[in-house]
Amino acid sequence: MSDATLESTADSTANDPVADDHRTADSAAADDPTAADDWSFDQSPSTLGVATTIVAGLVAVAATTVSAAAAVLSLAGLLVLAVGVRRGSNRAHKFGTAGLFAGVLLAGAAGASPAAMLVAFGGAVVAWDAGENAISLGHQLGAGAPTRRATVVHVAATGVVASVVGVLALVVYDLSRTGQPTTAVALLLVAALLFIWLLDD
Amino acid sequence: MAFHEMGAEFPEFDETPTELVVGPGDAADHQTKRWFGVSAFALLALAVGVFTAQGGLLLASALGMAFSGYGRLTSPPPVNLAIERTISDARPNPGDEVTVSLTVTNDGDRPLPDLRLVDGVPDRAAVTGGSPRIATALRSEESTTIQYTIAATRGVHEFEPLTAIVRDVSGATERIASVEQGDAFACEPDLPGPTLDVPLRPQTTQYTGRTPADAGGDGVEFYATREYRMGDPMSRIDWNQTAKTGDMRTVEHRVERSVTVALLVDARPSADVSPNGAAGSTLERNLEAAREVAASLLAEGHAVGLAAFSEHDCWLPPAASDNHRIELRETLATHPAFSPGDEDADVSVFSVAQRLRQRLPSDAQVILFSPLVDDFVFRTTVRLDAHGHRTTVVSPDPTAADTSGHRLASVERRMRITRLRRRGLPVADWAFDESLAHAMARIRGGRSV
Repeated sequence: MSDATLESTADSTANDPVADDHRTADSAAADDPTAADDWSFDQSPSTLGVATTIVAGLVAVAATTVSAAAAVLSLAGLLVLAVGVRRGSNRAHKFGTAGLFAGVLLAGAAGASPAAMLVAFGGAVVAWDAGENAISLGHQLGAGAPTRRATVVHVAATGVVASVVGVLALVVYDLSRTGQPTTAVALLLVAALLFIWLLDD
Repeated sequence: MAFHEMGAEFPEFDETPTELVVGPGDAADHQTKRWFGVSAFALLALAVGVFTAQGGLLLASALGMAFSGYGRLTSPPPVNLAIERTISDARPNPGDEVTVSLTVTNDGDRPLPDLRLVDGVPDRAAVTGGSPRIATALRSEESTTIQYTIAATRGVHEFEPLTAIVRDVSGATERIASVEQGDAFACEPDLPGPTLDVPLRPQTTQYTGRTPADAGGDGVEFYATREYRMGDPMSRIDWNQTAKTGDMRTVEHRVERSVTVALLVDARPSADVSPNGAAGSTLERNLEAAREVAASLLAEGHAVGLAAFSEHDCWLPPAASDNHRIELRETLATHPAFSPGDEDADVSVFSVAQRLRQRLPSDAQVILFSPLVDDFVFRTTVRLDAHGHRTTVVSPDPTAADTSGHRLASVERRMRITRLRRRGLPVADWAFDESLAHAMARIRGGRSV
């Protein structure tokens, strides 16, 4: 009985004369925005940006396989990072990057070779950089804008810097292995710190 | 071709706001601080490396520090861009697609590794194809072109300043510049053909025109015959009738009179409401109705004037000439009163009506175009009518029925309409899925009055 009452009430609402007279021309418009109605700005980053992030991240993850825990941690970080970039979320991007770097540090602490460490750290930096750049391009220009060229130039520049510095560091490290490795590394670090300090002025 | 020199004279900002607002023709630098995180991880790697005595970590730390140095070393090159915007049609018709091409050339000597452009699409224009934004890298003397289409809507559309964001190759510093270009296009809808049968109120001016008065006299259309009275002109005597019956009969023609009409458009931002995106803006519907009514009235020889409820004074004295027709069309298309204005602008409906009364001849009629969404307009209309300006209301229905608040507004509006009709003012309640002619015909049919 009560069911029937409810039903009839529902019917009378549907046939409400006021509602009927003033119904909108396109009642579907409210539920299902069409292209013409959709004024929102799609801020999602480009596919190329997401792809470069994932590729660089995978390189970093591959270099951390010396320890299973490090590999799992960095892979989890990369997953969060990739999802964050895909969705244009700065927060997820940050957390993912932190996970990825934590995995790299763990691998280093577990005794990864210097070459592997350079690849892992460099890969992580490139992944973070490509992701951050893709998110900022998405926020500033939206999904509809052509961004391929800017993305390629930016990622290539970061990749080149990572490779050059990495190779240089490795060469210095290898050269110094014959003599006093710790001294050489310490010198390298001092040089780097000095570099930062000089640039800070 | 306009050249915009940007570079040395740019002010350097010390503070680093998260979002920079740059005035037209201005530019500002902004540190993105994006490499700070890498430096932090480099120092962390250093600490862990020293603690665990792992050479690999120390090397990685050196790499991280090199990156933070990379972020500091690079700075955006001086920017010198030549920007050229071409608009396919400077005077489009409403609904036309206007293609805009923007060509940007790097006139500086140094390559721009990361150039992001956001064209200043006019405020009320919708981009229908392509993107007005691009991110690219430009070598010296290289140029890039973006092309997009805009759906033209009524009014003058001025392009906003273009925003150029130049980042250095590492992305550590971005320079934001705003470039004023001052292009515009104007879209003026034509007055339509005289399609409407505008139901004017009964009128009694002495000038001959096209509105049939319910009175016999001089005119062209047969009205009635009456008994001959002394002084009737010979040519007006109905000789056939006289021959048949022997009584002298005089033919009377229907007197036609022209009417002075002021179109009064409710262009207040607060009245520019719309039930949904598909229905279009109420202001546009008001203007569409005003165009149709004006065209039809002018075609019938009436004098048509124009005024608006708006913060901008809009007044076109009633006239009936061809020149006036053009002026009316332009005013309806481009007058600042009819551009969507400041939502908070305080428009005094009463003072507009008072000014209108001072300007109008005492027997002029008023046709008000208003959604009737508030009582100010209601009361003003009643007062105008009471002062002898016989008023007809064309009211585009902006109400929706999706929420109870919307339904309440809808009921309130209907009550205003009912009260106006009770006072003898004809109101055409114009639903958005209905033609104006249909809504007007309901007045004619007498159902609405």
